[in-house]
Amino acid sequence: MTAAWAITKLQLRILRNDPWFLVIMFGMPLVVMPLFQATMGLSLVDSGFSSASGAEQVVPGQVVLFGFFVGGSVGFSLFREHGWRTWDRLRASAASSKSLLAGFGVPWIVIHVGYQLALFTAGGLALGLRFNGGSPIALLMMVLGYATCVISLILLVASSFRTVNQVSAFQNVGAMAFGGLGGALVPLEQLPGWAQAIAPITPSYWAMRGHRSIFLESGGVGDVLLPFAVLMGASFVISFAAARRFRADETKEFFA
Amino acid sequence: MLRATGFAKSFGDVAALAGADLEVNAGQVVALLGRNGAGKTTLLSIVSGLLQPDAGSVMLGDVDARTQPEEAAKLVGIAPQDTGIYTVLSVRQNLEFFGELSGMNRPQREQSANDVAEKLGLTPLLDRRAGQLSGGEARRLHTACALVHTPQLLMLDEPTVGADVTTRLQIIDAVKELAAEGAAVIYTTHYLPEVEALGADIVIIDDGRVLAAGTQPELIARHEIRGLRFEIDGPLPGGTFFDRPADELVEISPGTYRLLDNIDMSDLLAGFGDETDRLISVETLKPDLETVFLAVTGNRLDDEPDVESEEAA
Repeated sequence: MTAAWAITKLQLRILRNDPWFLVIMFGMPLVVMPLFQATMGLSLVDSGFSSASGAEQVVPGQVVLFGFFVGGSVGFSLFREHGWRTWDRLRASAASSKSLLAGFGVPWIVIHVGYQLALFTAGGLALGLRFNGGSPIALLMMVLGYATCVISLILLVASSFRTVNQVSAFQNVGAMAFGGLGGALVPLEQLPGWAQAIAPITPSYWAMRGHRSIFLESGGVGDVLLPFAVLMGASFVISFAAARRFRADETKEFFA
Repeated sequence: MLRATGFAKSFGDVAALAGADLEVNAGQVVALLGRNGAGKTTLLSIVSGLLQPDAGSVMLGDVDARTQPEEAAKLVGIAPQDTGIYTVLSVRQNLEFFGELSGMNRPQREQSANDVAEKLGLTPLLDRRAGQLSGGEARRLHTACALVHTPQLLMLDEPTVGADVTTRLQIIDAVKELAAEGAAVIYTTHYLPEVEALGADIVIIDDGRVLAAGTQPELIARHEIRGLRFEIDGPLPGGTFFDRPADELVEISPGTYRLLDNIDMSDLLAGFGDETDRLISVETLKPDLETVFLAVTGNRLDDEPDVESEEAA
């Protein structure tokens, strides 16, 4: 645990020294949200939510979409160690493979939760998103579930892929594909039938389902239990697979 | 401190190590000498747990490195060949991170970071970002990171490659100091003057096998060779004098030859006959580490190996 904690602090220190990726990932959705708010408002009214402003779709949608991009950072941080030639030093230390994986994964779950909450707060203030009877605790559950699921998924991908370019491709395509299918770009009911049918295979779908329940249907903790359980269950399975797949002695290629 | 026996490791069809043994005691500095691709890095990687051997055992004191890898890792410090430091962190943060990674608490790692920085001349640079260090300073930090948890076995893989004179001397002094404090040290290098400066015992490795081991005087006495090195303009003269086996007369670079025989310069000049004007230079090979290496392996330390063994290691 000492080694995992040391690596956790290392990740946070590196991020503090170079926070610009997160700053950009925070600013970009704040630019996009107002552009689509009115359109999303009309879509929601069409779907039967007569008092919707559009913030109920566009704020969680952009959080979920950009949250996937941010989650990709955990893969990047793992590969970066190979580029910096520090990976062998970590491996030669007393840290076990599980400690290494935990040291990279856990801080990024915390960062991801913080990122989502900051974006909900800023986007909510800017676009007038209100709970309207929905539960803040339920929101915390959904944010945690989504963060855990995305980070686990990226760790599995990073464990399986050989180059950082492959991880980057998955991060970009995954964000757009999962976001589109999961209802983060437009409300789910606006998607074609085939897309709606396969949407539940994506973490974005379950995250958006929880967020809609909270912001459009005044959902409480009990209303988000199913999506929360699905996200956490998937996280558990994916983390297990990542731990099984993770081979510390595997050669990974960074850009260098 | 280290007792490694029967090390074997293959990469595909290429045997990087073929049954190597190595023993290093507390307070002993062992220079591991071998050409590129001889198996030095593979051997260090196995001892440090970075590679699993196909066969053999590694004991660090009473700890079996194969069955107790985490315990073993706490006893070992390794500075790999490539510089590996966190350029976005300060020198102090780098040192303290590697201390913490090995389980040191805050006061221990702060004290150790200061001590190690002092040993390697990094004290004035402790708060500088590692990315702003010069090449030599970065190399010293790279080495310091391997020392910070006060390992009982320190392994430095070509620590002075690309380093300036100051850095070399500081690293050599630090190694001597650590050995005097009781650490066992394995040091690989291609610079034989460093080995002499360290007063290190020698292990010569070639093609994945340990060919010779001992103190410097022992090996020089055991493997003393006599011969000449000469440079000529054009091809070797004809005649029986130069008609010798390939391991006796070797062209070590274009126009430069090594002749291993119990002869002196006058014999060589007689061999040239009336073509002595083509002789550019002649020197007598003195018995030293270079001639020991030559006698043991048949190659100079800086000779290029064949491609296969290079890739293997």
